[in-house]
Amino acid sequence: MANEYAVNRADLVRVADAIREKGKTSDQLVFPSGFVSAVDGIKAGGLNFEVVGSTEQPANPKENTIWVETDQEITGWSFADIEPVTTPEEPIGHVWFTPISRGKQSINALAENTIQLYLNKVFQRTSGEWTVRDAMIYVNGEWCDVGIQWLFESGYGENALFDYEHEGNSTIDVSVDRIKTNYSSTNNGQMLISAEFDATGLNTLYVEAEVTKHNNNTYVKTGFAVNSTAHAYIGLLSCAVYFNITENSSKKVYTLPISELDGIQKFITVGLLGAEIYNIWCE
Amino acid sequence: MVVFIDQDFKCHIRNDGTMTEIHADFFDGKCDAFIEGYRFIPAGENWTREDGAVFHGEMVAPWKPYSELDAAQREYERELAKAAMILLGEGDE
Repeated sequence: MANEYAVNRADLVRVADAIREKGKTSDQLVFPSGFVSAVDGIKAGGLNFEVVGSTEQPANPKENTIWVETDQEITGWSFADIEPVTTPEEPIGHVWFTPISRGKQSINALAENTIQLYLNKVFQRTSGEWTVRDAMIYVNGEWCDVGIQWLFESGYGENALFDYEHEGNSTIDVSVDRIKTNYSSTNNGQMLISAEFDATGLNTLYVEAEVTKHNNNTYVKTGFAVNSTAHAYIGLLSCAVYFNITENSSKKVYTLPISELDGIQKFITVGLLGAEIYNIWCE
Repeated sequence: MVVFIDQDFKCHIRNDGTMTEIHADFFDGKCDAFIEGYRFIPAGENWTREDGAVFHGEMVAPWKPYSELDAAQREYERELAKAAMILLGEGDE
């Protein structure tokens, strides 16, 4: 048997390309050591994503990158369908992902046997507790928000994803658990809670609330609305979508269709309204 | 403002004889193209979206891309302003 063989350059390139595709790399491979190293580095099945932590969005991410916005070094990560317990046992820096059954976008978790992973909340162990972190995933060449887009969530109000604005002759009380609104005057007026969010690709706005005081005055309507303008003063007539609440109710979920809205929108409540709002989210 | 809704709750400026008349302040000052890009679901009625999601009245929501409706309304308002200027003798015809 001969010890040396002539190899066509094109065939070598084909082999190198195949190794690069399997190894998910674009590095130049030097024959033979580079080929050997690259093959050794190919993960046999297994995970198809990586988790990175930084305060700035990564500039050249690979597909299925999960970016956790944090200044705390990530020391490990885990997935669980429940939220972490109050007293962490994991080391500082550990990231806890809570997948959900559906959401806005998913990652392809396994290279060979595809499992689509939808992420919801992301926590990181800081000094003595779990801290909610923002996260995004890099899918199909662009960054996407993970899971359900929360605007306000009971129990996490302090970590709510939106900043609210309040206008009008009314009181508003925002705590960790809920937003309480109350308009005490019997006169007409405007009361707003506005929060900006990107409605692109979202289909439904959900608001879970108990309505304690509605007003069916023909000039001022109560309800939840999504406004397409950037005006600081937002009246009912400048809203893109609205739902008119005509009676008081115990806690229930109100829904608004927002699939025809793109870009930055503002969630607001308008008019004479007394309510306790527990959760606001979009899917 | 009076508009007409069909069986799919889509709004129309004119009644073809099969529609329901409704009164909606929401459409005051809105042009025809804007109005006819909307659904109006009356109180007590439900509308089911094609993905199965159910929405309850009273609700007003676009069924056409809102950016198109907004563009039509802005053009309408520009034409109104132009006509007003002409009437005041301050614009060119």
